[in-house]
Amino acid sequence: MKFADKLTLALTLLLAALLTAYNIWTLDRQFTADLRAAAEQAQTAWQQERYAMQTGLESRAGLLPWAASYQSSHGGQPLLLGVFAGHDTLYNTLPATLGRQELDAALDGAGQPRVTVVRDVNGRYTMLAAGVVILPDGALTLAHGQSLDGVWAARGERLRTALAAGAVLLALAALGCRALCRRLTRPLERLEAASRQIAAGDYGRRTALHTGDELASLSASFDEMADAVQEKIEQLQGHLRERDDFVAAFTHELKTPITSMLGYADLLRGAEPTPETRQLAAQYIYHESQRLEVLGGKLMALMQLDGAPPALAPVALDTVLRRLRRALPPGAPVPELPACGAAVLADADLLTDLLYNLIQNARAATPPGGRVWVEAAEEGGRVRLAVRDTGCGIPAADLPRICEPFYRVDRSRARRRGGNGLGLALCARIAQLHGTQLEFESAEGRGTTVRFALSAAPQEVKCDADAG
Amino acid sequence: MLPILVAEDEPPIADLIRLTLTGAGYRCVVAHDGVQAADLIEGQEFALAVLDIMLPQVDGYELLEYLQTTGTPAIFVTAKAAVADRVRGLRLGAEDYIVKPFAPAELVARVETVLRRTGRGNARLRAFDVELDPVARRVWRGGQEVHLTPREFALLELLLRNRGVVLYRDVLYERVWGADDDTDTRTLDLHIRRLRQKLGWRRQIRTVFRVGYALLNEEDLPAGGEGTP
Repeated sequence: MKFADKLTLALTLLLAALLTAYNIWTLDRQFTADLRAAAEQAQTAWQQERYAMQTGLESRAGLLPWAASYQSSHGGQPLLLGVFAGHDTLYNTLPATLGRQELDAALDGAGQPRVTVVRDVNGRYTMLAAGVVILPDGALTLAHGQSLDGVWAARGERLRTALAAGAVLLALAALGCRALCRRLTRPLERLEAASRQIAAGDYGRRTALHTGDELASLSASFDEMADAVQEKIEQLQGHLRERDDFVAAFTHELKTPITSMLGYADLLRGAEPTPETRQLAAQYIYHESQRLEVLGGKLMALMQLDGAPPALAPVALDTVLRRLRRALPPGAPVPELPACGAAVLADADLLTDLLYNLIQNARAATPPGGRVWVEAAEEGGRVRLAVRDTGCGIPAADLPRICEPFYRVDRSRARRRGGNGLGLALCARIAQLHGTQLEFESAEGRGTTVRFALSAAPQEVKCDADAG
Repeated sequence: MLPILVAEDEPPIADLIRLTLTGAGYRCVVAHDGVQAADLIEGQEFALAVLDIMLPQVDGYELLEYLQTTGTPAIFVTAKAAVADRVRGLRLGAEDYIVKPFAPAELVARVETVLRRTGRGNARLRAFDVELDPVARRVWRGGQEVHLTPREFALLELLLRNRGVVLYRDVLYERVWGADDDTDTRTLDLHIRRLRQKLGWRRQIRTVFRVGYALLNEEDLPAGGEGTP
């Protein structure tokens, strides 16, 4: 059952109860008033009759003729009168259906004039006003009867009217309630529809109700929740996409070496090849396997970096630079490394790897006559490092993506110098693990600068930025 | 016959395709990037183009459009295995789609089928007085049709394609019978003997003891060994 319908039902029931109570009260009041009026009327009539009797009668012997003349002088409906002496009925036009007992009860102790309501055997009510009339020859009891049929009929009529009007009113009220409740609960329907749609995958759906009540605040917190859900979902989907992209790029990366190795091996094993073919095939198989080996190593390194973060310890930059000088392969352009006394918080091996990769990238992009150099400067608790070159530069359009795994600015060029597309991804990850990130600044044809900053180790050392 | 254009930027793959197709008797011209390939298409006619999709500068899809104006059929060779990519390639009008890694034999078979379908290749292989149609799978000797079993046919096709080269026993066996078959390799010798009988090739198929078999070139045939008596 709908909430609006429940509300409508409850309100209608409440209204019905109130209406009924009101009707009962008013009906009762009117009925009582009617009865009182009837009693007063009966009493007045009785007073008149007593007066007429006292003035018109000298003895009870003249009762019957007097009564007849009184009835005829009154005209219209015959009056309901009863005159009793003790238990003897002297004159009686009261309805025959009135039982003697009820009559006695009404007349009993009738020293004072009093009014009672008597019910006859047919269930009809009659009002009796009775009292004692003193005549010269003794006291008589005079009873004046008055039918209450009219009062009862009026009550029944009013009850019927009240019922009919009540029913119509209730029906109208129910319709009104229903419209109102529907209107008031419409925001709930919107909330429900929104949550359904969100559940069905439309995460951008919001309710934005401005009803200025609890529903508005519910809507606000609902929207907040939807925001949080959407953000989380997008984050997850982003991660998934990243992973899918990585796997796709990685499998693509595997295709070339595997195709070559399989293809050349198949060429070699099938038949006796010419010496040139054999030489070429063997070369390719060797180099492609080597490429796979390097790729595997880099991938392992990248995956290890995704595990526990390395412990950062104070490392003298000089030590790292010394290691670099030993590790970098000879050839032009010769990288210029500064002498620097600063110490940084870092993992020595990873920092060496990072600089090594950046320097080798710079050398690959720089013609033999160009320059590749490293700068280091201490500044406010941070040591700023930069690897710079005067090489070919990176197109601005490629800059945002160069740290993505397997992304290459120039695929065939990168392959010729043995690039595997993971170097910068690895560098970016190492930088991230050191709480910094790589900033690239490049002008095509003029050169590239890669900067990052490390926390200085708490230790007093001076750093001169001389190229060495 | 017109040469085949190979547009592939990875030197190992480009060389592999060139060596494979040359070995199957086709002439190849290799382009290492899209611009070079486009220039070649403009400058000369090709029987077929084998295109990598991800080429620098001008990609394979664009090259396909150039090729279509000249009516040259094209086969895509690519690392993209997704169905959507294949559908796109084929819908654009590529004749076939080969996904890396591929076996050289598969490449040859597909090239041959496309050439045959587009009516561009003289796909029949010939040696001495024997002629073989690899697509129709029929063999003639001196104009007279010879009926071969499927295995005999496959064996003859391999010998014809690698004419003058010694084919190793176990690889020959693996290629004809499949890697999973573990029948005795002496079946191979049996089939060779039957081929010699049916084609009258006593000396034309040379046995290299314990190594394999080779179909001799015309000039290598010892004098006096011409056919059956």
